[in-house]
Amino acid sequence: MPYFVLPKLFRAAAGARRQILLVMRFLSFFLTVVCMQTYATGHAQEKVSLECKDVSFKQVLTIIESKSSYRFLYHDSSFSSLPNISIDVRNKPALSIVDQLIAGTYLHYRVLANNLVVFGEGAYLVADSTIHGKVTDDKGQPIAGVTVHEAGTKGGAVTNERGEFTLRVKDAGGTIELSSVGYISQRVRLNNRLVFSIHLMAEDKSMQDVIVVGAQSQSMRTTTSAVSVISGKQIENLPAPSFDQLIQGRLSGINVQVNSGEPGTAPSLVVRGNTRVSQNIGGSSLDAARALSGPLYVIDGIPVNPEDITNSIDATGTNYLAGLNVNDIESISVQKDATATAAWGSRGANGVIYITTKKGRSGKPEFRLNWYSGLSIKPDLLPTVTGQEERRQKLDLLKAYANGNMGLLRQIPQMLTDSLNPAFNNATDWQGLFYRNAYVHNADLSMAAANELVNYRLSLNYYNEEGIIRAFGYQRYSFRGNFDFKLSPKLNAQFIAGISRNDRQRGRKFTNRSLNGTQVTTNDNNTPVSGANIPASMYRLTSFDSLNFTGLYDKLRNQNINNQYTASLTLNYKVFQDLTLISQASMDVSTSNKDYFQPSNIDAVAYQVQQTLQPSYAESDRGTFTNYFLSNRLNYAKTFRTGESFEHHVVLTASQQFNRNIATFAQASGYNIPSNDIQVVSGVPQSSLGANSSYQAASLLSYVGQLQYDLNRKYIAYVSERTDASSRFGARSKWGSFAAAGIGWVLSDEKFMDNTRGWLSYLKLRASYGQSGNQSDDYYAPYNSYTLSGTYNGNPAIQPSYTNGLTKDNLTWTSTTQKDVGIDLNLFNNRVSIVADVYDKLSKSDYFNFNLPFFTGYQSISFNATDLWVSNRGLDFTLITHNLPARNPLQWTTTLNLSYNKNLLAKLPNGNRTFLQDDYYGVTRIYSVGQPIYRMFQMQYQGVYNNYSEIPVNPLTGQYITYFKHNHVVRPGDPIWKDQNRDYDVWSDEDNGDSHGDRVPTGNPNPLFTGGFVNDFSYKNFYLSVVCVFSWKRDIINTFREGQFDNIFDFPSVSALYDFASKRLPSLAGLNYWRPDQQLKGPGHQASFPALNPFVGHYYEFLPFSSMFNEDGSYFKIKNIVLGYRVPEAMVRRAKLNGLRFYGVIDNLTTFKRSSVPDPEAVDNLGVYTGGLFPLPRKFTIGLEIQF
Amino acid sequence: MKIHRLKINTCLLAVCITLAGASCKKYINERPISSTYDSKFWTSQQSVEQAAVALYGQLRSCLRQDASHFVFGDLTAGQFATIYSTYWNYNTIQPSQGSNFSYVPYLEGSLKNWTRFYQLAAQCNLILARVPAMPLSAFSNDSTVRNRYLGEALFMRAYLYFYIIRAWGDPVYITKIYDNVDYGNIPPVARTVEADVLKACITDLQQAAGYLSFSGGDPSIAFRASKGSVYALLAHVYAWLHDYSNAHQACQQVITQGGYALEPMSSYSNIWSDQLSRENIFSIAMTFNSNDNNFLNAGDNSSWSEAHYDFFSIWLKDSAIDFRTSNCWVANPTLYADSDRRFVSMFHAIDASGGDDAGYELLKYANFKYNNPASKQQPYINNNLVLLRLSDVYLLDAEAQAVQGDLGNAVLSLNHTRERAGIGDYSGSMAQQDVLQEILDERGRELIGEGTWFYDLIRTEPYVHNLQDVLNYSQTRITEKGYYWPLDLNALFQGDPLLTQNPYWSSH
Repeated sequence: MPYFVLPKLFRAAAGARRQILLVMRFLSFFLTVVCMQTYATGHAQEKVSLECKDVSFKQVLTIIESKSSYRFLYHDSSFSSLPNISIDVRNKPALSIVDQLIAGTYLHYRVLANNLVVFGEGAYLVADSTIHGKVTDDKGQPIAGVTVHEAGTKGGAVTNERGEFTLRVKDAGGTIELSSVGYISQRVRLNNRLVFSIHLMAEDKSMQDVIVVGAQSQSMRTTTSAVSVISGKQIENLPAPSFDQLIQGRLSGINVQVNSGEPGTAPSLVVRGNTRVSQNIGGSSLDAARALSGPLYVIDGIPVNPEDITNSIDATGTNYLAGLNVNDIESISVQKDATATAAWGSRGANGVIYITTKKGRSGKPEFRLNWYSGLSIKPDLLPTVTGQEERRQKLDLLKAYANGNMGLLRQIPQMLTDSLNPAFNNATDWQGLFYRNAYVHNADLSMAAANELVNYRLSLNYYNEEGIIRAFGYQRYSFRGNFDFKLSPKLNAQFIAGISRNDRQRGRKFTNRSLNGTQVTTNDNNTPVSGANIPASMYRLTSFDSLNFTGLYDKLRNQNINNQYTASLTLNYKVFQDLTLISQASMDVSTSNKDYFQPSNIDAVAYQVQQTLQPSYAESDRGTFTNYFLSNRLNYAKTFRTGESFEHHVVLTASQQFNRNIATFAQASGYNIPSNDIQVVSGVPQSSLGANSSYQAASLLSYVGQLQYDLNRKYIAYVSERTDASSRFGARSKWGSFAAAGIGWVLSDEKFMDNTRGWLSYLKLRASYGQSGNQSDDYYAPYNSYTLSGTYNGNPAIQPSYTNGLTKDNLTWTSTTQKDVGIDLNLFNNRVSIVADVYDKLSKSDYFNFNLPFFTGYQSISFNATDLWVSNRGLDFTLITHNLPARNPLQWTTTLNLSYNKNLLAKLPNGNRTFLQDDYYGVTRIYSVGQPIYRMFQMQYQGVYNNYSEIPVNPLTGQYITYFKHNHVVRPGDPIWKDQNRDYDVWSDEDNGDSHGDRVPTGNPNPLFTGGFVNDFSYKNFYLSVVCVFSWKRDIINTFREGQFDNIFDFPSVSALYDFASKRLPSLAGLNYWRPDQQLKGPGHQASFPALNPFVGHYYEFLPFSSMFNEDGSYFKIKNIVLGYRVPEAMVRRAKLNGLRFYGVIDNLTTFKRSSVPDPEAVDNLGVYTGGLFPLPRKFTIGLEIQF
Repeated sequence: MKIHRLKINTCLLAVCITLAGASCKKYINERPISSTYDSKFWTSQQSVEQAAVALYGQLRSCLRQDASHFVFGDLTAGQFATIYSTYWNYNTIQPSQGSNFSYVPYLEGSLKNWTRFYQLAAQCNLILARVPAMPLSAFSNDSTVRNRYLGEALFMRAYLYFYIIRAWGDPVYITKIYDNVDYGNIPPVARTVEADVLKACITDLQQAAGYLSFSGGDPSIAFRASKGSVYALLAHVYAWLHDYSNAHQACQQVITQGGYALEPMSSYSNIWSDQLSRENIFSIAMTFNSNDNNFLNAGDNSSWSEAHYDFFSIWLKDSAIDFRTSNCWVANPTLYADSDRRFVSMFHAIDASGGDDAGYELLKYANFKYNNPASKQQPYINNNLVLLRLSDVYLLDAEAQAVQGDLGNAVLSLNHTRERAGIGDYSGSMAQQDVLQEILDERGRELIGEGTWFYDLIRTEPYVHNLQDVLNYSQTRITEKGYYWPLDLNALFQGDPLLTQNPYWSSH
């Protein structure tokens, strides 16, 4: 134990009396560092009596030495200026006599081992005293690892696993400060007490002690950056495969939308607004997924860009972050402003998420077993009518619109009229075929311990979640080990190793990426019959249908495995007292493997149904992504004083980093495998065989310098500079420089704020400005890749890629400039805390696909668009309140996180030329200066023309207004589309080549406000946490409904009537659509939806080019409720355990919304609801945690 | 000991930093190995060969898009009819329906847009810029090898501009390459008068003739450019300029030195089949090839797959193509005598069905196959597309002789194909216009379905007036060159503000 070292050291120095002061300084340094309970021996407060007159202080001490076991140590000169003393005391503690004698002088003393009392002069005016305390949380459980230190000094202690601490303080009337990750820091006035029992309140947005910004560690108190932190505790045991879904609503400044309930997929996560202007939104789901800019993740110091990984090797579509066990996470910090992100330079432009994993803490080995299990509930099916009722509704509709016309009525398909035909007389709700109740299981086992030489934590995790659509699911096995070795007083090493395996079942879903251009499916292709194509309920479900639709082709094989291997070694060497060298070497290997087999439907039933023969197909994909990261950094931290009251803290960090990514991919595929029993690519005829492989590598070399300075921890300044060279840029433009500066002012520490101390605990103002950047997605962006276009007469042909065929030596970094002003405010003894930041982020020079003139032969080229400016301005706001006094047994903490972001295009290339683009579902998006990215561009729908008197007449021609470039004269029952250009014809474009027509910017899919509202309660051993998330002012478009109407009521002919009969009718309940029979009832009857006439010719009126199906996508969701019970310590001990806890979670409980879609969150990044997206299930889990 | 350890640590640190520093320099200049690129590509003969091969594949994809080759050459000349269903949007351009070239829904990208030909031009220009800069050692020090590639690129550039001129009139004439310095800074280019471009093409072709050699009777040469194809094209270019004496001389070069021979009637269909024919001067390979991975992956949808289904299938109907589709372009072959053996062997009468009128289907390209016969997957039509052949040159020579007044020799030239077809020597009127009309009609019979006849009508309009008399074009349409296609300015103007519309179509 280290305190044995102390007396020995002292004895070595004690001989040299003249160096006492030096020794003392030395000692105090050691005390600070090892924070010990050295003073146990000083307890023997021996009492003495003494009586003397006019003697020197030195003489008094000699008398006391003779009457007690105390020995005094001092400089002769120390007492020279003291006057002589007269004293008469009886039976008083020896030291109190000394106290009495030196009161009011410049002297002070310390009591060391063996009752040795050392005198000193100057700063230490008051005697030290030792205090003891126990720190517990609001549930009465001890908290280990709390840092305790006396205000205004450097000394400190840490609580042990029983929550106890011992601290020597200099001022028994002073204040101590307690802080720990996940808890509100607290100041306690000592008032000369020696024993304390302190409750720390858990904090959601904690003032985490240390955050890592670039290569530098900073304290939360003195950072100038806008950083939000949550502790892993707050998201543990929630039933989700990856942490990114769980931080939704818990941090301000990020917008997380979990848009698919498919286990193992990634949610969208955007920090402070989207900066990406994708020109490629018309393709597959992959394009939609890349429509938004994602942050850089740094896991235990290793930077990872999951987008890079999915771009280059993804075969399975599994979320990279799902490889990290949620319960291994210690804390997550989101770094938002320029001073935080510029040090990540090259890749920090879209924010940085820094994750640290758990380490061992407890002195004696601790085992923790955690298990939960639960059920995901089948979603509510969309309202639909079946059987007789559907038939009645359809016939009713036909009769209404036929209006007695026998010619029309004769066309009614047999399916509707022949109600006795058993083939058409059923009531099948097809939706029910695909969904199921599913289970979720999770088990964690961890072992951890910490002592002076080694600190370790080993963990093991198994997670298994079934999808609520059949044949979907996700399993993870993961191992992680964190080891800290103290090799010598100057050198320690940290080793982290992690392995995980992710096995994902994806039903019949085949593609994630279009590797060979043949297979493009969309994200919502989860069920065999999806969205608008569901058949009428009257059909009979054959056994083949059920087999086919449930995706349980018994021979279909779809195996998706992602493996991750991480290892990292960090050496931490103290070169001098103030200078530390840290070297880190790490490797992260991630593989993505898919094996797919689809049998030929050569069997009779399948052939009978499908009529065409489908060849068997097998594919095998192998991708490996290797990320090497090396960094060396020198950290110089120095504190010095000038004058009486100026304490300067300087931290200077210089770092060199090297990062290299290698992505390899191989694929083999083949049709016509000889037997359905062979499920791999084997024995395939040469002509049906395909194979390819690829290799990509990119490197990044960076130098970072960071300087943090503060005066008295009150006035703070920070500057950083980072320079990167990327292999992804041209020879002339590899290097990019990113600088940032920030200032901070802890206003609450000012003298003039003294009279506010009663209510203002802490106030800091911050401001920052700086630049960060981004590199190209394309590993070989400057090179004009030549492509193997194919063969001619059997010979291979190579030509430049027409979409990116020019060499680009000047291609370079994008840049994002960000300004941020923030305030950190704690009120009423930290019962209320507020963090608010206002930012202005301007991103420039992103890579943009420019069309080249046709005569160059090249279609387009992607390079920095210096004229492409994206602006994001907004407010991050966090409010935490502790609603009940600390003494109350019921504790209630409320957290509100609010992120407001306004996104717009500030400048566009080609002289601000507006351009339009259709997404995959045909919704046009406008890219125009002043408009948010991906804003919808549609004709404005304003209801229905109920009768002729409402239809505008063109005064020039005397004709009714027309639609579709004069092809359709408007009649009652038609939708009202606003005639924007007042030419008495409304359409999406004009014959004269005007591509805007009568369209205007409409729905905005970027939410204006997102956030979370969290309430945590605790009462004795119970705790309850309710997390709500919300999104406000977002427009979505219901293309599911759009498609249903369009499929059924478009282009009528005999076959369209057949469609009308054979497809599921959209729910017409509550839909006041225009019907001729109701119009007869008189002009007072007003319909609110256009006619659904299956007989007359249509003009595409249900396409999404009008705003008819736009809806308000705002929602407020009770995301999860956690109820837990901690078994009282006494009972736990009796069972020879260290802790026992039970908990239950309800996930995704309910959603309050305005739109008609089942879940406004489950829409894609562009705000499109298709009806086929994987619903977000409601989950119920229960679990327990045992510590022993 | 402490000092010792410090030393070790310092050394370690130094090693770490130097290692990282030194190796990084190399790594930040990463170069791709999954694909090649400009500065690496143009170093070997093999690469040049691959680039040259790309010329032909690219031309194939240009011609095949939306069957535009047949639209330009055949559909507009009135020998075929497309009725409803599959080819409804091709209707308006037929003479019987008013020859309205400006309304072609969904076909604007191919019929009114020439962009794809500029991809081919870029490839020609790239070869012509890069190959001369390569050291001769890359070609085993053999300048004829290097010149052959230059000859191919020159031929192809002339071919494509001539093609553009015949379809759209004045081209935007580009002979330079665009690269590194250009992007973001490309000035617009105006159209060049067609006669000037054709003169430049003649220069190119004359140069190419010096670089290439004749086939020497090897029919497999026809898949790439040869001296024979250069002269055949030169003859066409001269004829388009109505410089018939030079056209005649070029034809004579082909006929006398080319090493070509007419395919006997007994094996007439070999001309378009996967069999080789000595009659072919220049043709595009479109038969199935097992090396072709585009075919496997994308079936007939890939513009680069060798064998294709969609392109030739426009001629074929149920009986020939196993119920793949029930629509085709139906021929109305009025020019043939019943005894014409071409009519007997190349046409098959069909009844009205599937919305099509009764008529004849053309059997020149009728080798329909499945790559996977068992499951009837991956259909394709195994024929080649012939662009220049000896019959064409004989008839062009006949035309040249006739226009120049040498009617006797013109009839001799004309009789080659008549004799083969079994309809005997020409015995009609020897008036110049009648002979020219007969030569034109013989072209119509011989080259039907080969994408050329409409151009023949345009070329001979000053002499025989078929556009005016047979296709009912107005005088304005002819003087304003309304036989050329309009350009899709909506799509093309953005990149080239100097671009102008063809005069007739700017007001029609």
